[in-house]
Formats: sequence, structure tokens, C-alpha cells
Amino acid sequence: MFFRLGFQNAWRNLSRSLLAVVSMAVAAAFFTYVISLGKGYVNQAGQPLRNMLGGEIVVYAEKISAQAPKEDDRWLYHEGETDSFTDMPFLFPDLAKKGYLHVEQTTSGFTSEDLNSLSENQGVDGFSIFYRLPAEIIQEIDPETSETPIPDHLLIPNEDGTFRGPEITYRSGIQGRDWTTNLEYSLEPYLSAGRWFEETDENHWVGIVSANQMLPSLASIPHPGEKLTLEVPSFTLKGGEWIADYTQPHRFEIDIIGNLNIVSRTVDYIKGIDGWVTEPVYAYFNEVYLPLSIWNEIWSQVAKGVPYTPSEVLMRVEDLTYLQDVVLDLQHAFPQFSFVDIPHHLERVHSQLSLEPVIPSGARRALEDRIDPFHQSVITADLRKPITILVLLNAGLLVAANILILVSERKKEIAVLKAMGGRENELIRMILAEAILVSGVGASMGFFFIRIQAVLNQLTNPLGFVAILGLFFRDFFFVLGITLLSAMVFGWIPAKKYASLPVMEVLRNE
Amino acid sequence: MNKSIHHLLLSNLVRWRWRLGLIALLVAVSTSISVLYGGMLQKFHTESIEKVESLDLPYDIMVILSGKQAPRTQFDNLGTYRYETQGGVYRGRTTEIPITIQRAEVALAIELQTPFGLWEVWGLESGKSSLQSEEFNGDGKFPEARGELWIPASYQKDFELQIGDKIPLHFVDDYGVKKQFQLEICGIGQSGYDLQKPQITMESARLISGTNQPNRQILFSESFKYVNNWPIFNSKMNQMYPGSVYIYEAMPQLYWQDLMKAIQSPGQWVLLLVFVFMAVSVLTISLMTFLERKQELAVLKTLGISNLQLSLVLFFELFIAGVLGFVAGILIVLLFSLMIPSYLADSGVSVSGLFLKNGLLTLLFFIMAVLYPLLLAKVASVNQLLYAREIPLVVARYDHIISPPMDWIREMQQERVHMLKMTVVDGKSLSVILKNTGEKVKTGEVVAFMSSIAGFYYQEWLAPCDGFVSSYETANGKYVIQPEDSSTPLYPYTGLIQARK
Repeated sequence: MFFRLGFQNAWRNLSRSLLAVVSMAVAAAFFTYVISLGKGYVNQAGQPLRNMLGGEIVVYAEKISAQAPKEDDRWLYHEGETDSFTDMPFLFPDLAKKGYLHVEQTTSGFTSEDLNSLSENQGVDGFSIFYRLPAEIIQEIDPETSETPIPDHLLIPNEDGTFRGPEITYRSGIQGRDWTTNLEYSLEPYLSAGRWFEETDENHWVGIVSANQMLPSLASIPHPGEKLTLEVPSFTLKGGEWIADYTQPHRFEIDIIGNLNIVSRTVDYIKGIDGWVTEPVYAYFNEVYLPLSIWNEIWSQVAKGVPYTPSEVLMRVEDLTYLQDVVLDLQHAFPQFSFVDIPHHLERVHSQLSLEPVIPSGARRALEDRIDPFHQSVITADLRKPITILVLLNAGLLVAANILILVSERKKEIAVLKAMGGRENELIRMILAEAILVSGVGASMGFFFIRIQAVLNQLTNPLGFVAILGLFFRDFFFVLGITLLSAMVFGWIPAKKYASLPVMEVLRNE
Repeated sequence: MNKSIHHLLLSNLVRWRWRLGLIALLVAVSTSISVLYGGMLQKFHTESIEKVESLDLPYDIMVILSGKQAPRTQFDNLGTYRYETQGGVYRGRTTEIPITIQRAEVALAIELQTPFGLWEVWGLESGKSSLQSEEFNGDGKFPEARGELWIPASYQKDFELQIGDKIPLHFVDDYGVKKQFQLEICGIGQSGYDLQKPQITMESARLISGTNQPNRQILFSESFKYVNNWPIFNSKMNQMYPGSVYIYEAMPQLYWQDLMKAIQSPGQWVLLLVFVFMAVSVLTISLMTFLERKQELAVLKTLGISNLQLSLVLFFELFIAGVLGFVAGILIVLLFSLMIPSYLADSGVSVSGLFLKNGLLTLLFFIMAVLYPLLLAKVASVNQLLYAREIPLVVARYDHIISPPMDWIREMQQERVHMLKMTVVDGKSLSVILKNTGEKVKTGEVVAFMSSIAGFYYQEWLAPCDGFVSSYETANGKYVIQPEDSSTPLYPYTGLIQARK
């Protein structure tokens, strides 16, 4: 009966305790945001970079993402060349230009134990090694067919008095990935010409390049059906580090089977009398994609059979909703490595315009305004715990204040209930029921408000409906439980205070 | 304040002890959390900077020129910088130091493909460069002739090179054409500095690269060591060398400071959150207390307490709670520091500064939170307090039309009637009409009102004379009052008429 009375009271005072409901809702919203970091990512988050690299979390063996330092960390300035076995040379050329800070005891690669323990983490679905090598693309320019006129001093005289064009070299990288198993990260939808790798391509010297490349003026993009000459330096392992000998390169010839045309993003800008227009910005990169077997063949030739030490790994997660959580947890578990989730990685690539040398002129200013002054990635302090404690403490105090006021206004009522034979425990229960109802309503409102976005994101992820419901209710009961607990703890104090007042004293004072 | 007011304040403090205690607790918690957390952030910042190695360089600034930018020959005064002197006559004062460039050198850096990876090699004016000081040289000599190469000691160690070794090199020019060269090692460095590079003569570098223009500028300035305002320094440098990169000793620390700002930015939000939560909670409690005490305040106002006195009593109640909370917060921090001595001590964190800053912030948010109920108590009339009417903070009252149209003035003069203009939109009256057509009104009586901005702002229309409401047109808001005594003077619109003429 006292429970029912409590609920009735809450209903009667609902308009007055609206503030408590709202504050509880805000607290629960914050709390929900903290436990799932609010949003999660939709299935397409970070495309096409996810497909270019093959995973959702980028892990570097070199510690370059700045974070709050540990006890024995020493951070050093590092200038010039970035690790050419990672995606840094083509995604972050700025790092090489401006230099960056990294931790002194930087490991030069992942060992197989590292890789195993990385994949054992909760929420991690698997990993794939990023196979990349610095290489150069060689093109012989034919004066007859060259679209750009060749300057005279570059022409080389032949014996018969005619001239031939020079041999042009430009920087590239060769990437190998097992396209037969990692089907979900295929770049097939981005093909502008030719075809994507097939299972029969393994052990065949075929490759795919971008249709948008940053080339020297005389060079041209190789199209499907054409041959491409690659020059790869030879590598020797010295003191745990790979040293590239550029003076003794190996040449390889591959058949180009496809061109990629990847849209990096679309921009909206005002274009003269057309008003707002939306135009794509294309990704420019000189990488050559090869079947893994061919890549391995090249590596074994240039490194004389010494196995490859990966310095970048791409990890896959089970559910993108918890991507940031997984990254934070991995960062705690492996402070010696750098972790970046792909959406943030892409944000950084966009903010440096490093894949986007060609931008519609009207949009250039809009994009340049968004350039991030930090060229190095940063891991912000993990504030999940302090925020939770703070928010719940404050919400609890507000509930206490509300209960105090609600109860103190009804001293007389409580006295009458006591005079009728209500026991102290029953009265406390009545007051707590009211507190629980108010905070329960508030907490649910806050939870649904924040969590609904995550659910919408989850629906796009390849998760079953039952799994989404399960996660939803797991989080809901967690938030509700914690909020109700804090409401009960803080509501109990005023409830106890008023329920224990002697009847006569209350009635006399009224 | 006289004695009875003192007594009132004291008895109120006792009566509302729980409520005020809760406010004090909120202030205490937010003060202590903000000081402890702010201290932790600051400690992190000051301690972490020691984890970053500064560069050891033989020059003050090296400019990596961007694009085809030419090195500068004329140097402006780089600007003035404030710096604190540590001793001498300027103790405790700041003085301004002009940064002037004493000396500048140029270098042509080229990237070469070698058997040992990619090398950045500097072409220097032989015999003129300060980087070719004898203290840096070990064996052999610095390059003097074409084809000579000098390497730092670390290169010798890493790649096992000797004087006389011939190194084949490739250089790729802007067209993409690869050229082959060979350089012979003529000297090996001894003591090193950071970012030391192999050197060749400027002539060799020009020959290899095919360009004449140097792309590095090395600057020396005696007053450089006094620079401590790096953002201004960088902006001045950016004016001189747009888009370039600068290398100087403190650069890693500055990079780190920028990165730490980004790392700690959520922490600063949490600090703000602490204050916002405190303010919202204090506002809730003080507002609810005010609502509960409306009748009590009405009685006090009826008994003749002045608005100022009432505000003071209410303010001091809250203020005392706030001060007690602040003191309790300090005690919590002290207790915490006693329990964990290393927390704030010996970390270079100015605890008094933290208390001052957070104390001021607490005060600011606290005052913002209690201002609303205090203002309500001040402006509310007894009527509003007792009969639960809205209590607006700002009231505008009209007993005439601010700027009437000419035909309305003519009508008033001809018909001897008084007019008010109500707020109407699309034929609907936004003003709430209290006196309808035909009802009698007294001078100064409220005939209509309108509440806006959620009750904060009130407009009231007062009857300008005794009489009755003769008409109200919702089309244009014309509200006409027929005076009982037709000789009641009209509002003097004559000045307005003359002004319009």
C-alpha cells in the first residue's frame, strides 16, 4: 500500500519534480554516452579508407600517437622519413615534412606474439597485416606519343640520329593483400576501368592502380592492358632495421588489370550563379595493389629471403558501435603501440588534404578552413570513469535535494500516516518509491534519447536484431541500475530524516 | 543592517540548515573536485614536458623554406618579446627584448638515394659555414672540392663507412629523370648535434640538383634565448617565411604542449561540467526554497522590510553557505594532500593559484545560480507572492501610446477619448484583456497584460483615466477608454505632432 501511495505522490507532484526528472535524464544521458561513447559508427564509417587499408583500427608498431605520458616514457623529435612499410608516406606526408614526436623505445615491428595477443582482445574480430614496400614506377617516355612536349635537354640521341625520350621515375608503394579471404574490404565498387582481382590472379603478375595519381609532368597513368615497370630497392636487415639500397634496385613488370577512382569525400560549396553545388573530391595516390602471393615473391627477391616484419596492422571489430571503446581498451593494454580508429584516421587524412591535391577551386577555401593544426594524432585522456562518478554524484545530490523538498512539504501528511499506524520502514519505502519512480522515468528518458542514435547505427552494422536488442537492454539495465542505486542512496537520507520525526512535534509545528 | 535583521538572518540560517548545508556540500564538492582535478591536469602538463627531449643544435633557428621561396637577405626586427628576468635590476619586472638576426647562412639540401636508404645531404658554402666548425670534425676534412662528402659520426657507425669510401648515389629531378653520381668520403664527424646531416659543397649540390637556389636558411640571434612567447615568435616567422617549417631547440616541447592541449581538452570540459552541475543544483535548491518561502517573504514585505534588506538577508544566507562550502572544499583538498603527499606537493603546481582560479570560478557560477531567486524576491510584490501569480523580472507599463498614428491622435482630440494600443497579430490579441468593452476602469488600473520570454518579461497596460472601456478592435489593437469626466487632460501628444511637422 505504501508503494502505491509513493507512486501516487510522485504522480501528484510530477510537475513539481520535473526538474528532478530532467536532471536525472541529463545524468543518464551523459552516463549512456560514456558507456557506449554515445554514437558508435555506422557500417560505412570511414569508407573508402577502410577498404584501402583493410580494417577498422590502424595499429602502428611505432608509438607516434601522443597520449598522456607514462612514468618512463621519453618523447623524441623525429624528422624526415616516416616508416615506409606503413601507410604514413602516402597518407601523412606532413609528418615527414614537419617532423613528429615519438616514444624513445619505439619497437621497429610486430612480433608474432604481439599479433596474437592483439587479436585476443575483447571486441576484436581479427586482424590483417599491412604489407607495403616503397617502390618506384618507371616509365619510358616516347616522344611520338607523349601528350606533354618533352624539353629538348631531356631527349636522348639514338645511334641513327633520331631521339628517344627519357626514363621517368616516380615514387610509389606496392601493397599486397589477400583479396581472396578479405572480401568485405574489396575496392571493387571503386573501379573505373578494368576488373578487380580474382582467385585465379594469385601467382600472376597483375596489379591495380588509381586513376588519379600525383605524377611528374611527363608521366601518364597506366591503364588496364598496359604494362607497368616497378623498381624496388633491395633490403638488408641491420641492427633490427631494414635498410633500403636504392643503388641496386630490382625491376619487375606487371600487367595492369584495373584503375580505381576513389571519391575521398563530397564537398558542398557556392559556385557562382549555380548556388550550392555538391562535387566529389577524388583521392590521389600512387600505390600499386598486387595479389599477396606476388607481393611475397617480390619481397623474397629484394630481401633475399628474410621474412617480412610488419610495422602496421589493421584490426577488425565485431560491432562498430563500440569502436572507440575497443580502441581505448587496446591503448590501455598495449601502451607501446599507436592505435587509431579508421573514422579518426580519415578525419586526419581529410584535415591535412594529403590525398586531395586536386580540389574544385570554389571548395578549396571551405576545405582549407578545416585544416587541423595538429598533424600528429592524439589520444585524449580516457575520462569514462571520472565523468561517470561526477555525473552520478551530482544527479544523486539533485535527487536528494528534490526528495528533501518534496518530503518537507508533506510533513503533515507523513505525520497523519504515522498517526494512523504507518511504520517508519513503510514510510521510507513510500518516499523511496517516489524517488525511484522519478529517477527511473528520468533515466529512461535520458538513455533512450542518447542511445537511439547508437541503435540506428547498429541497425546498419551486420548484427542480428536479437543481438542489438540484447545489447540495448544490457546497457539499459546497467544505466537504470546505477542511476536507481544512486537515487536510493541519496533519497534514503532525507526519507530517514522525516520518517523518524515524532508525530506530535510535526503536527505542533504546522 | 539593524539588530532585528541580524536576528532574522540567524534564525533563517538555523531553520534552513539542511537546505543550506546541501548547498555548502555542493560548493565543497565542486571546489575540491575542480582543484584536485585541475591540479592533476596541471601536474601532468608540467611533469610531462620534462619527458620531451629538447634539441641540441649549433644554430638558433633553421628555416626549411617551402616551395620555391628564396632565402632572405634583409631581416626585419623580428619583434619584441616579454621575458622575466631572474635576477639583477629587473627582478620581478618584465622587459622587452628585440630579436634581431646577427648572422644568416644558407644551405641547399637535396635528397639522395643511397645504398643506405634515403639521405638528406646539405650543400654548404665551403669554409664559410658555422656547421663546419672544427669542433664537429673528427677524421679528415670538410668537403672543399666537387665530389667530396663529409658524414656525421652516427652514419659511420650505422653503415660502417670509412674515409675514402666511394658511395654511388641516385638523384631524381623534378621531371622524374634519375641521375647517377658518385661521392667520396673526405671526412667524418666527431661530436654531433641533433639532426646532423652529411655535407657536400654548395657547388656539388647545385650540380647534382640542377638548381641554384638554396632551400635552407640558418639563423643566429643572440637575443633568441630570451624568447618565451612562442606563438608570437611563430607568427612573426610565418610573416617572414610563409608556409615554412622552423627547427629550434625548444620545438619538441612546443609540439608537445600543443599535443597536450588536445589530449587534455576533454579534461577541461569535465572541469566546466563540475561548475555547471554545481550551478544547476544550487539554482534548483535555491529556487525551490524561494517557492516554498513565498508566503513568509510576503509577510516580511507587509511588515515593511525594504527590498534591499530582504535581498541582503537572502543573499547572506546563501553566501554564508557558499563560503562554508568553499572552506570545506579547501579542507578536503588539504586532507587529501596529507593522505597522499605526492599529489600536489613537489609538482610545480601552484596550489594557491589553483584555489584562486577555481575559487573565482566557483564564486562566478554560484552567483549566477543564486541571482535569479534573489532578483525574484526583490522585484516580487506581496500580491504576486501570496496569490501565486507569475513574477516577471522586467515589467514595462504603458498608459499611453508610444507613437500613435496621426488619425488616432485626431480621433482622440475630436472625440475626447483616451486610447491604448494592444499587441495584436493577424487579428488576434496577444495582450490578455482584463477589462472588456463596457467595464468600468480606474486611473492606473491594469486593463491588459502580456507575458513574454517565459514569464521573465511583462507588459502591462494601465488605464490613463477613470471611465469605461468603449471599444476594442482586435484588427489594429485600438483600445478606447471613454473618460467619466470629459475634461480629463489627454496625454500631451502635441510635442510629437510638432516634431512630425
